Amino acid sequence: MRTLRLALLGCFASIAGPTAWSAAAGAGDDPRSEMAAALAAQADLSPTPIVLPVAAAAPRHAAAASAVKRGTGPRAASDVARTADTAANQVSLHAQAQAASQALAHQAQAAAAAAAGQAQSQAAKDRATHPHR
Amino acid sequence: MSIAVLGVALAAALGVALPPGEVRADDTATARHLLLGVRAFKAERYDEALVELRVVARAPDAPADLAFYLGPTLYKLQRYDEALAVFVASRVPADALTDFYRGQTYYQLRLFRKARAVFAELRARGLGPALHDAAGRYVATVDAAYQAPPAAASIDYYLAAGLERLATDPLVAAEYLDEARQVEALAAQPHRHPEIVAALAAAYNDSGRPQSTIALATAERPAPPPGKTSASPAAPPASPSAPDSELTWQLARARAATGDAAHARPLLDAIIKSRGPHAADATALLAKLAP
Repeated sequence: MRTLRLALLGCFASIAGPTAWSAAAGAGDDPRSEMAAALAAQADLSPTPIVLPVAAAAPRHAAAASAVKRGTGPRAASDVARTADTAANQVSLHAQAQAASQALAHQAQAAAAAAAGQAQSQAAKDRATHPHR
Repeated sequence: MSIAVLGVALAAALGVALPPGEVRADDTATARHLLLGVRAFKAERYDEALVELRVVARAPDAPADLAFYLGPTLYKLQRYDEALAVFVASRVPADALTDFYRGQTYYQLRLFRKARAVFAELRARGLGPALHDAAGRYVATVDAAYQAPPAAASIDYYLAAGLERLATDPLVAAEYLDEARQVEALAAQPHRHPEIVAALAAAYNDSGRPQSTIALATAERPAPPPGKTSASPAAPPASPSAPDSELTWQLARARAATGDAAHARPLLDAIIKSRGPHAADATALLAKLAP
């Protein structure tokens, strides 16, 4: 074990040269060397699987258009669209944390579509309830 | 073998020896807080490390390489937006370890193209064996995600995230908008390209980087071929769309900010003549230009 340690340190020293070696030797004396050692030891060496994020752009336009048609402000509609975005990306983030499976990516898109559907459905209900608006 | 021994050796291999003018653990209060912050980081007490490093950040003698300490601490606390702001605002050249944490921060913020670029560059630059392999894994994971062309909804996501941050934090907004630009370049079809470029140009200008705006606009509108004349190497189109007008305005701002009145003036004239949304701003800027 001791031999292996010495061999590895020797290898690093030969790569880095004498200046870096002396910095490592005096690591207890200055914050930068101590921090460098901690950074190297605590780096995340294995990336988590990823799913590309998506925005529910089309539902946002649909909801905004509905709001304009109703003569109401776009704020409520854009809030709903934002909820759809958030839902999609929460599922997307969850998928990233769990696994990079295509199924979860589809789940994210499905959540966005469902939220957008709800927004459009609500807009339609509003129109039906207040046709004169 | 202890992790600490490996860490010290790896740090040495990465060439993170003290740069000139570096803070040492001497008797100043700032140096003491810095050392306390580092010791807390080492012990994985990141909240405590942040408190100490915030004190250092406020000190008049704060080290120029504060991002080396503060960025990774914020990263470990999962405060990724703040970590990114620290990394991109740093004005000293980053060492390999700082860049590794910057890459990880991009990755956690799902700025995967930006992360990939950092890790690929780090591998080319040369890392210790452990980090070299890790950087390779990050690159491979991003490449796997982009095996198929990205969807338009992904481009929309990055553009929306950039626009959302543009007014409050243009430096970070530029990172999202640059990601949007890179993702759009991989898409099967062009998607909101002029909007992305115009917003990115605005973010560069708003974060005090007019040269980046000029480089971006020049790449978008290459100089005319020899023999053809143009008012500017990046002249506005004859009948500009809204994003084109925005890019012209941003380019004019950048030219003016760099003191290039000769190139700024024709752009501002064109904006004023078009009576677009920036006509009043262009008039005011033109009045300020040196004759």
